[in-house]
Amino acid sequence: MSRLIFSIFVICFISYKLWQNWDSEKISKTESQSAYAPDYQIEGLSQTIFTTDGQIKTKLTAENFEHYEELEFTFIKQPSYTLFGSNKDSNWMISAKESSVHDNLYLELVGDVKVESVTKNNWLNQIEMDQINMNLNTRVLSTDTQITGSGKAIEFTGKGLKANLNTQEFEFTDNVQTKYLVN
Amino acid sequence: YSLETDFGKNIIIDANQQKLDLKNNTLTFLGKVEISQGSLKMTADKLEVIKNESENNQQELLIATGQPALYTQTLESGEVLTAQALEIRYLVAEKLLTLKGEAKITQKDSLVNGDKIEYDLTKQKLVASSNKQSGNKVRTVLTPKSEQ
Repeated sequence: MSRLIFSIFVICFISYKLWQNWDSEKISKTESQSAYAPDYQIEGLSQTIFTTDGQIKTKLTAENFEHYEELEFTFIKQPSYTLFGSNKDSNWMISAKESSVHDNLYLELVGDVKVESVTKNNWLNQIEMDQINMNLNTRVLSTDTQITGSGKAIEFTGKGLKANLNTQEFEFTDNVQTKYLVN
Repeated sequence: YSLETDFGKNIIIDANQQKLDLKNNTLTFLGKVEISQGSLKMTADKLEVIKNESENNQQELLIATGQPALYTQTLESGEVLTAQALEIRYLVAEKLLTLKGEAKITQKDSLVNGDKIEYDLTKQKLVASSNKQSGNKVRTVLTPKSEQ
């Protein structure tokens, strides 16, 4: 009789252990899944961000917008940013296939990236490249990829760019060629 | 290519680096700067391109600096004009060249030295001057045909 009780006890103990293992796996699975599932997702996003004194700072439209709180990461499909500067000459539009934001500050844009001046000027109205990084606060841009740019009767090509959209300064860092279209 | 047809050609500038300051309307090229416009060739360490908007027309001024900055161009006659100076200014629309600092222009049988030389590329007219402090004089050397 005691042998029977002992075997029942062993079976119960083993199944309890199995269940415990399965349960913790399930928890860790859902935990990890929750880290990979966006906290919120918006399709057809249209967002306007204001400065503390009520001026428009940034406008963003996007096909798809996924935010992952735990990872402090946002993934955006077909983003189009309009960045408003201190005056109308320093407003710029940036668009790309995809972009991601890390720590709510560091923006990376990838695929058909286009940086365009809202107000056309003599020098630089548009720059195109494959990838670029931008600090959303300082609006400093940087890339090592091949770039092409154009303005009024002027075309640039080069490798690498450092730019500051606030101070309106652009540096093409390597192998630069500029073509002045005389006629 | 030669002088007259040059001015209808695009200006191509190659350099290691290029800095554009939209606020101050200035474009700066740095490092092994090479400028070409048809037969016109300039080399410099640095080139600044300044756009002046006055009334209707737009005036580009190219300022090349170097040790020295060099300029060559083939004239209508087929002769090659060469110029050098610490600073070469090229007013694109007016086709006016201004050489400053150890300026020298040579064209086949003549050589002109001075502190400052202005050269009208269209009229092929040259005005050379020296500044009083330097005490230098303008020197023109004409090489007799027999010595060529």
